[in-house]
Amino acid sequence: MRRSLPSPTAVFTGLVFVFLYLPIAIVVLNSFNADSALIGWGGFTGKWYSHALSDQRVRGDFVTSVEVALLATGISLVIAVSAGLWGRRAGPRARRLLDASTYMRIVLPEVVTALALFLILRRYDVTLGVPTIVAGHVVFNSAYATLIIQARLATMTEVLEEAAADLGAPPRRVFRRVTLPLLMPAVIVAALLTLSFSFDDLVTSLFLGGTNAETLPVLLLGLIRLHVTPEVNAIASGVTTITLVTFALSAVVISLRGAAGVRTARIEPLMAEEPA
Amino acid sequence: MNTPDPRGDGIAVTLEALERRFGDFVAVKGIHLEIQDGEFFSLIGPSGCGKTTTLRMIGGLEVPSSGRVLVHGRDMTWVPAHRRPVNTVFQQFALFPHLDVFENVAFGLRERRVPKQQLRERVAGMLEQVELSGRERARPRELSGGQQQRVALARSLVLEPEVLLLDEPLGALDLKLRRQMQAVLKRLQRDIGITFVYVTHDQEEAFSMSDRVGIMKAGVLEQLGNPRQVYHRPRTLFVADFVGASNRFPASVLERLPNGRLRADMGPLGVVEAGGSAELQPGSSALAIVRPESMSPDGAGGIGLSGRVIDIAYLGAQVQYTLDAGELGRVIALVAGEDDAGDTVAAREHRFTWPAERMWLVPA
Repeated sequence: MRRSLPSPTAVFTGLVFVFLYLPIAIVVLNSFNADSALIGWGGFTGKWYSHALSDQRVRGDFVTSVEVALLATGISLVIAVSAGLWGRRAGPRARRLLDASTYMRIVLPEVVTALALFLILRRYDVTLGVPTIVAGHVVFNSAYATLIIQARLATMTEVLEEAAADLGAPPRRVFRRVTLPLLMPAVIVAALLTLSFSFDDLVTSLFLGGTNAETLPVLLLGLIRLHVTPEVNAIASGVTTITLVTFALSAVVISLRGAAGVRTARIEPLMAEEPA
Repeated sequence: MNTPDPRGDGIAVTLEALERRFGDFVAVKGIHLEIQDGEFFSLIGPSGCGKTTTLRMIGGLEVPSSGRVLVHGRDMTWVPAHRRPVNTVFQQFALFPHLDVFENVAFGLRERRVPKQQLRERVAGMLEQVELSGRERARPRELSGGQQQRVALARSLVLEPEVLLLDEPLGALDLKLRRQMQAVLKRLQRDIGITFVYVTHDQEEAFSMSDRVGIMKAGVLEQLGNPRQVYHRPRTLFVADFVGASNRFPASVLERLPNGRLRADMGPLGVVEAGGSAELQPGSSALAIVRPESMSPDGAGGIGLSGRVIDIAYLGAQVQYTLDAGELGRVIALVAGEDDAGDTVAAREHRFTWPAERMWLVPA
């Protein structure tokens, strides 16, 4: 192979990445652009961020977004851990049913799920707001969380829980002292993942928020309908940053836990000899 | 907790018609068993014979399909594992990876809300007994197999159980360490004086430690007895085979003598008088079991056969001869010690003999 020319596949891959990430880069760039018409580069400024931060609507929507994300994550984790633990004990048919319902919630188009929920809630005159958005987010987030918890459970032998029971721990204490600590890495990863999914969700939040609750992504959609202000870029960059940081944290947790050897729920291979 | 024997009849564990089915598969078929207080009792058998399931039913980790489990006379059949006065040492130790050695050993004491000071003393004392003082803060993964094994033991023994259940606890260790740990186990059991119920597929291991053994096959307790009885007076061919190598010769029972022994026709070996399984009746066909180490090459006394020596294997403490004994088939003889006979009997006809009392008849 000649060294001077990059291979065609490399070039193609590079182009795809440029195409994918350039628009996002431009949004971030423009959030610092002093030219309010966004026609050219008008110099560096932080004023769009301070505008956004001082805007009551933006601040209110930020709080709503965080509220929704935290609630949805909490509920999703409870569902995921219960589903995971039950799935271990379930018979093969029940287990298939559980798996099917998990995958369906991921595979079905979000817009369809959201619409269906919207129609049902309207049919029964449920007021739309934070609780309904949370319910909508839980539908898919609990499914992702379930997959993560199940993956962890698959590597854990039940003998540790049997040992705990054998040593005198009643079922609830077995869960608290053995099962939950061993599941913790997966719980943390699932939490960070669902937090970020919930925080930047648009479709479900839009359908189920009604006029009472508005999250940041919904606000952004509303703003660009009129005209794209530099403030929009600042808000979008903020949402991106929060999502990325949460996501990166989960990656850090995974690698740290991995390095610390918390694969140990599998019983470690034994050393052959006593150390001297 | 130390009111272990309310009935005072010295029986630690009683199994009554204990049965466990998994769907169509019957793992344990109506076992009756009484294990004495302070006894070292082993359940042995090939994998899948139901020995581990039986142990788990004593521990409360498995629910019987029918029958009862009693510990010191108290019905434990429906008592959950965490409320039974027994503890288990698991095959792979099952130490808690997220807890250090101290906390692993303290686990059960914390469940019992033992006061702090006392807890610390009991854990320290136990760790000293298993020679792990100083390793309190180590995680299980930082320990060698033998050390993990001792933590697992300490974790159970610190609770002073009425019965300790051990499920192939040495299976994960290499041979040399296993021998060492056998000695440790036997010593601990003698010192503490509690009842051990031990499950293993290794009959030698069971024999070396146990007061009594029970041999299981396909969910049934085939024979119960001390190692010597089981080895020399097996009830069935299965037991004879499982506990050691043997030579077998066909025989047909002629009569049961007043002294309980049997007179049997052994074809080319003649009519002999030997002990045998109680199930044998006059007229039943039997197999005579002769352990290889009972055969002697000097050609003196008792029953004997001649055969061509086709293989000599030097095993160190013993020499193993393989004979082709014509219509009696292959015969194995183990001869103790350094033996010059090896050179002289090679590839020749040679006569091996054994005393009649070293022969035992089982149903064919």
